[in-house]
Amino acid sequence: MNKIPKLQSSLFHPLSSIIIVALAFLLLGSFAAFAQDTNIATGGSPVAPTDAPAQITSGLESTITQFAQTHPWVIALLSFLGALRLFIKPIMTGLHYWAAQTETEADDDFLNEVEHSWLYTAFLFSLDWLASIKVAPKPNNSSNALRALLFILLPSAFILGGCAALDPAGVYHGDQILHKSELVTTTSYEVIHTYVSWEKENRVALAKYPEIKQSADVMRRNARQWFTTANALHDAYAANPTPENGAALNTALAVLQTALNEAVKYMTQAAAGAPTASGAATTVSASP
Amino acid sequence: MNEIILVNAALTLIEKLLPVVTDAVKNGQVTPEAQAELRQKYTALRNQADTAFTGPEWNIE
Repeated sequence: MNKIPKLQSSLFHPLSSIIIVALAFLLLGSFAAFAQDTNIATGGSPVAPTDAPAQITSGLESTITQFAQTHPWVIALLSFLGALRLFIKPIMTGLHYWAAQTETEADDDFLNEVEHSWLYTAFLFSLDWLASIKVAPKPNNSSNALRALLFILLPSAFILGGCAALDPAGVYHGDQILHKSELVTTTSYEVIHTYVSWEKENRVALAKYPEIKQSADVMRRNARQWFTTANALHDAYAANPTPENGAALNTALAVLQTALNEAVKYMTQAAAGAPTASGAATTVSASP
Repeated sequence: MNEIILVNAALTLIEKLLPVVTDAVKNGQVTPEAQAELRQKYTALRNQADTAFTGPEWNIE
């Protein structure tokens, strides 16, 4: 399925068409020259030559040589494209490998900056368009899909889970606030715990995103207090379900939801390889 | 290698969030069984309050 467009793009872009037409003319020219030579040699009668391949090669060589002498820019262009094919891709692959091996992040950042500049983008477009040379790998669409899926799941989890109708026969007896409280508390703990564990296990790989460690440290410092407060307000509301107690509980839950959102945001951004927003790590407040 | 680790982390998150959405959407109503399951998780979390934040992953380094 995917081979057809690739074949079309390589066969039918302008330069390929020109080269194919030029080769066709060269072949036709060499055969015409060969036919003319044999006709002259035999006085016009169609007698087969004794060394046909050698004569074809000789005719082709002389035609190419003549063509190169009269149109030197075509040869220069073909040589240039051939050189690009030989050098550009290994050079870029080598640079990526070298940047990944060094400890400093400066070279990674510089390479990333160069690759995202308009000049380099235009250069890559030209290479692809003129010579079908693809230097950079395609972006990882699976990571982007994961990120999109998570951003859909996260609000859905609380819009649907937090506001879904409760069967009154259940343990919450139809109390939405109490149900939401326990849903947010358990899910937030799972995600925040995953987040701080992930940050610790992958600290070296995540060094390029310092805001992630800052964010995780804010959670390490305050999570216990956030959950203690939410649980205390949960108990107060369960014992006395007044609107005031419900509002206080919702305020505590909002802090947990903010932390959860932040954890998901950073994990998905890192998984997608996207740089995180600088300074965004302090959106979680220290107190509910 | 790093990409695999990071994608695995995203998948872990999906695993944790997906059941919540699935349960909510499944019947258009949270069943008594789903409510009991959530209550059980919540109670278990509160019961381990002393150890829930004490692992090495919670230390600031």
